[in-house]
Amino acid sequence: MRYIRAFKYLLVIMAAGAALAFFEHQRENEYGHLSERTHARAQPALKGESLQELAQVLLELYPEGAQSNLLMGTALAEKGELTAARVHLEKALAADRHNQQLLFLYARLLLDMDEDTKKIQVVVDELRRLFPRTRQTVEEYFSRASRGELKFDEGVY
Amino acid sequence: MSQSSPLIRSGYIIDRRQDFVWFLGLPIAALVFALISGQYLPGAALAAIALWVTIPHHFVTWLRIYGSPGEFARFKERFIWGPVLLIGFTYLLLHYAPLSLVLIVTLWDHQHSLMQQYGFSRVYDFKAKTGAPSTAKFDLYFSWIFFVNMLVVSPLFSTLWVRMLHEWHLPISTAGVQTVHQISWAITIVYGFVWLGHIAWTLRQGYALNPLKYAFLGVSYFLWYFTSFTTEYLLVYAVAHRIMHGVQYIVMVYYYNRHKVERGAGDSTIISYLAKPGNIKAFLLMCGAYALVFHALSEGHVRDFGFGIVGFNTNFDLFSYSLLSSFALIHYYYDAFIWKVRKKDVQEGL
Repeated sequence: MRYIRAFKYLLVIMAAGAALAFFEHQRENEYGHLSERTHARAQPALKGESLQELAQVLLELYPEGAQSNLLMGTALAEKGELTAARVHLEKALAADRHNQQLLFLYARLLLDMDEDTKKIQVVVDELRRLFPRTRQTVEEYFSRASRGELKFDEGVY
Repeated sequence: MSQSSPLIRSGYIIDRRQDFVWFLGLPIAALVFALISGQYLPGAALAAIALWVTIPHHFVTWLRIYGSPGEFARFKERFIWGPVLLIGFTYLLLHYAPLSLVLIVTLWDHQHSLMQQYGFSRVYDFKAKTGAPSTAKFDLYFSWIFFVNMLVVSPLFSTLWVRMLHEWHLPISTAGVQTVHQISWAITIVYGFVWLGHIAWTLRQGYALNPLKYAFLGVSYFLWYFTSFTTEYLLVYAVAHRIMHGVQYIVMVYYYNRHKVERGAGDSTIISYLAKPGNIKAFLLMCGAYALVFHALSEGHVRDFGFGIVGFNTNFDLFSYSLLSSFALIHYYYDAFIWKVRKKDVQEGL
């Protein structure tokens, strides 16, 4: 009894955590609206219709917002609507150029749209400069994806 | 330390100079630094702030509790079993229900942040012997209502909570969000007047006010509202908030330990050593050393000590990563009961 009294607060938190975990699983199993985690430190993210629904609500609230335009751009790119996606990603970039996911997606989109390599290089270089921890992965990815057209000099940053 | 006057009476958490630097000036400096870092520094700046401010601010909690036999004895069972339970809990949630962990850590972090500023405002009233007996409750409701309003209505946080609801497959429409915003603003504005009315009532009843407390609450809430309304870049809010929260906490614990030692209530050799005015460098070095060790643990670098046998699987990565959240949760948990200003043993260090 003494222990239960001592840990009352913690037990309430843990019980809430257990209830939430149960609810999370139930929602995910029922709707399948989240993507799988790609690695240990990644979070599950919205996909498909659920992503577009969220983006639509946020766009209505914040038409010029970076997040709302990024989410809409992601949803449209997922559906293969690259031109429409590009409009939203460029709007998002006008509001915030510090988002790793946004810069990555935009560079990837430009590559898929066969844009000028110089233009893509600028975005990828920005990504490398702003997010040094993932620089090597980014370089490997874009070097492979561009079939060696994008080049990365050592020690530029 | 306090100055007497009939209805306005200043009292300081530490002293006039230190309070102006850490409790009134720092939030403004943190805000300016965050705006500049948002403009010019890479995203990795946030990780650096976490490493040099947030992690050391956890360390001073451990120092206060595990460095002092008296403090440790007060809640011995919780200090032994709390970490075990929370590390296990966090790991399991990260493994099986990551959204639940994000929700719990986020909500608890916000509660912890608002309660720290509320707690410091209580210390201001305690030091200056100001406020009516009902002031604590009115300030507590003020803290909750104004902080929650910021989370609910600001573009930065609206985007986050609307997104979280969709991730939980509890979608909300645009009209629904706008209604929530209007209700939140209405409650906040009405309560703002109630709070001001209570201040006027306090003065009419002959209770004094501490202007420093109101200046402190003013700059704290200015930092939160300004960053969450003017930027969409979470880093700007996070850098400003973490500098204010972490540095003020470290300063508070440092002086708490020092006051205890000076007043003969200290019972720990290490804390007595670190609390000496000439040993502040040693104190800061210990904070830095702890940050580096914790960084190695949470980034999984310790696997390099494992002879290639330990630490080379996904579960180890997950466990390392979970330490970031579990240590934060332990810190929030301890802070919920070790800082009661009404308790005599806490007052000894204030």
